[in-house]
Amino acid sequence: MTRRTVPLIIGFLAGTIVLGKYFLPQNAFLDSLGTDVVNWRTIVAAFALGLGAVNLLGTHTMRIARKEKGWDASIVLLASLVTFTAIGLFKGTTSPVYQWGFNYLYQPIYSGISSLLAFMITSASYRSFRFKDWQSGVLMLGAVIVMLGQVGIGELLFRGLPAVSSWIMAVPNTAGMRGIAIGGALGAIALSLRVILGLERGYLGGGQ
Amino acid sequence: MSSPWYERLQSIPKPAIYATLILVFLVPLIRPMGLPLLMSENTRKAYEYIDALPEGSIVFHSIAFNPAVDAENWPQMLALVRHYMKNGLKIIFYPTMQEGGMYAERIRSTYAAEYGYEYGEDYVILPFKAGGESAIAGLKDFWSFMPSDVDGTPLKDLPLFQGFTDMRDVDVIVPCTGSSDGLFYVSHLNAAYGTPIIMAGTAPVLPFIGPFLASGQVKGAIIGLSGAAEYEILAGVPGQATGAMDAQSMGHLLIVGLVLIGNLGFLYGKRVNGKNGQNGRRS
Repeated sequence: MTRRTVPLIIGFLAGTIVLGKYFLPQNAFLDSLGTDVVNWRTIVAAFALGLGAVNLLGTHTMRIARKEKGWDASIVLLASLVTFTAIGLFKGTTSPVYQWGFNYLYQPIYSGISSLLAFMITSASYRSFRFKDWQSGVLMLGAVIVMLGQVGIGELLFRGLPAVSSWIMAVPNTAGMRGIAIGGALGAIALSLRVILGLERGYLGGGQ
Repeated sequence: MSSPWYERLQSIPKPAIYATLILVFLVPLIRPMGLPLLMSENTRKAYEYIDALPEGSIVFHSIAFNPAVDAENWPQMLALVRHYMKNGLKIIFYPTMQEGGMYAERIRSTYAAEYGYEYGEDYVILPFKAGGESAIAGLKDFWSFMPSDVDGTPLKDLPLFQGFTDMRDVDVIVPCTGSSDGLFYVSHLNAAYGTPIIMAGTAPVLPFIGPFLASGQVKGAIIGLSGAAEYEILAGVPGQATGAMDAQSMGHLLIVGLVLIGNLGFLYGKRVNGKNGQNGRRS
C-alpha cells in the first residue's frame, strides 16, 4: 500500500506545485516551492549518476569474480572508473592531469568509436535506398538532394541544388516537424495530467 | 558461375566500401581540392546577430556535447568563441553534459590568452548540472541555482557578475549541442524572457530547430561541420572545419554514388527478371 501510495502522492504534489508555479507566478510561496522542486530534480539526477557508477562497479566486479565472457575488458573499465574518480576527487576536474586524461585518452577513444558510424551509414545507405515504389523514390531523392545540397560539390554538380535542399529543409521538413512537435506536446500534457492524477503508474515499475 | 553484373552492383562487399571511404576522406585532407564552400542563410544570420552585439554584451554559451559529436560541435564552438573574444563579448560557459566542462577548460587553458581574456572578468565557467531539462529550467532562479563557478568561487565575487541580476541580463544564449536539448532554452528562457537564441548543432539537429527558426525564436543556426566552416570564413577565424570540408564533400558524393550504383543494378535486374524478383535479384 505505502509502496505505491507515497510515490503517487509525491508525483501529485511535484506536478501540481510546478504547474501551479507557471500558472500563478504572482504567488510568491508557490513560486519559491516550485523553484525548489525544479532544483531538487537536478540533485536527484546527480544522485542517479552516482547510483549508475555504483551499479557499474558492482556488475563488473561480479563479472570479473566469475570470469564471465569479456571479464578482461571489465578490468579496464573498473581501472578507468576508479582512476578518473580518484583524480577528480583529489586533484579536481579542472586539474591538468584530469584534462590530460580527457584530451589524450577519453576523447580520442570516444571520437574514434563514434566515427565508425560513418562507415555504417555509408554501407546502410547503399543497401537500403532502393527505388522499390514511388514512396521510397521520394525518400531517396530527398536524401540525395539534401546530402549534396549541404556541401560545395553539390553546387558544382548542379547550381540550383543548395536552393532546393534549403527549400526541402525549410518548408516540407519544418511543416512535418511542427506537426510532430505539437503532437508530442499534446501527448506530454495528457501524460503529465495522468501522472498527476495517479492514472499513469508505469513510472512506479512492477509492470502494473 | 558468377552472378550477372547488375547483381554484383547491388552487393559490393563492405570491406571495399570501407576502403573507398577511407581513401575518399584521406586524399582531400592530405591534398585539399579547394571545392567551393556554400554560405547558408542560417549561418549568415547567426554571424550577423553575434557580430552586431556591442562590446561587453553577455553571451551564455551552453555546452551540451561530448566526444561522440565533437568533430562537428568543437569547431563550431571554437569559431564562435574566437568571434566573441575578437569582439570583446563577455562569456558564461555552462556545461549541461558531463564532458562539456572539459571543452570550456580547453578554452581557459589554450585559447583565452590569445585574446587577453581574463577568467572571472571576461569569461566564467559554470559547473555541470545534471538533470537535462531541469538543469536549464533551474536557471530562471539563477542565484539560488548557481551560487558558484566550476572552481567553487562564489559568483558574486567575480567581476563579470557584478550587476548581474538574472538570466534577463544575458544578451544571447548559444547552445552548442549534439541533440535537440538546446530547444529547452527556447521553452524555458526564450518563452519567459524573450532572450534571443543562436543554435549551434550537429547536422541531424537542423530538422528539430526548423520550426523555431521559422518562428524567429531561434535567430540563426550553425549546423554541422559545414556551418562551422562557414562561420570560420565569416568571422575571419580560420580553423579546422574549413580544411575538412573537402573530405566531407567527397564523403557525401561517395554515398550518393553508391546509392545510384545500387539502384542501377536494382532497376536493371527488375527489368530482366520481371516482377518475380522483387528486389531486382534472381529468385
